Amino acid sequence: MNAIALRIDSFFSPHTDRGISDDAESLRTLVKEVHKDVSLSETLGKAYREAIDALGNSYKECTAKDWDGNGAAAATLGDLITAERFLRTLPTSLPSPEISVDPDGEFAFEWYNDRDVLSVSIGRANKISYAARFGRSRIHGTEFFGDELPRVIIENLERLFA
Amino acid sequence: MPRPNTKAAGRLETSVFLISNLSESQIWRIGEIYVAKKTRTIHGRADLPASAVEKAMLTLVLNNIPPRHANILGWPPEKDSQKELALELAEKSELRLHA
Repeated sequence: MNAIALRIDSFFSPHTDRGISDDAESLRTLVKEVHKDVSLSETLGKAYREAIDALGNSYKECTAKDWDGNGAAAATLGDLITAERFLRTLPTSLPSPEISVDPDGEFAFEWYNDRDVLSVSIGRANKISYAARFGRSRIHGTEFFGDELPRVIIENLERLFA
Repeated sequence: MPRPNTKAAGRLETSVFLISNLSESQIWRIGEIYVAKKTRTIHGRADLPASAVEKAMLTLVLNNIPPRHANILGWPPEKDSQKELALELAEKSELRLHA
């Protein structure tokens, strides 16, 4: 059985990025510096870099309408930006997700262990659609994706990798 | 995951082929002709028992356009519910990689 301590906090997304004071600007600069250091880190940044590469490759393959030969909608730049923002909010200790594009053009992220799976799609209007299997248990739902990763997604990632 | 069929009032459907009693080479040939259409590369396929579709409360409808083609119908409109069913079907599927 794997035992991975799942860090809830993420280096990549401050709780809010709307501050306009000098202190807020200093904080943003600091977060960017930490982000840069972490992404260059061999241990902490490797999964992130792999996921960013996979995201970019998926986008390149799915920018044309009917990219699957069966009427799939193209992934847009807006979809990519939202997906990248989602990646940045993920805990740094997570394994890289499997990244793909749904027939409606939305990016999907999936994590697996030996028998369980969590699948999350990031949609337009910042809507998250998710479903998971934990043994015989099944869950699914939708969440709004704001500044932070929704609590239910964190809880399910913890459950998957606990 | 299903996709809306714009020629059928946006009906949600998943395109499949019935492969019972076909050889491996015949199955891959279907993929090359009707899925890859000679412009893409087939890397693999998922073999799904028809009974799994019924167990997921979906419907398998054969239309033979092209031959052996069918659609999985009855998908719910909400994406998270679609995902749940897609995971259920994936669990019952067997991955076959193309040599």
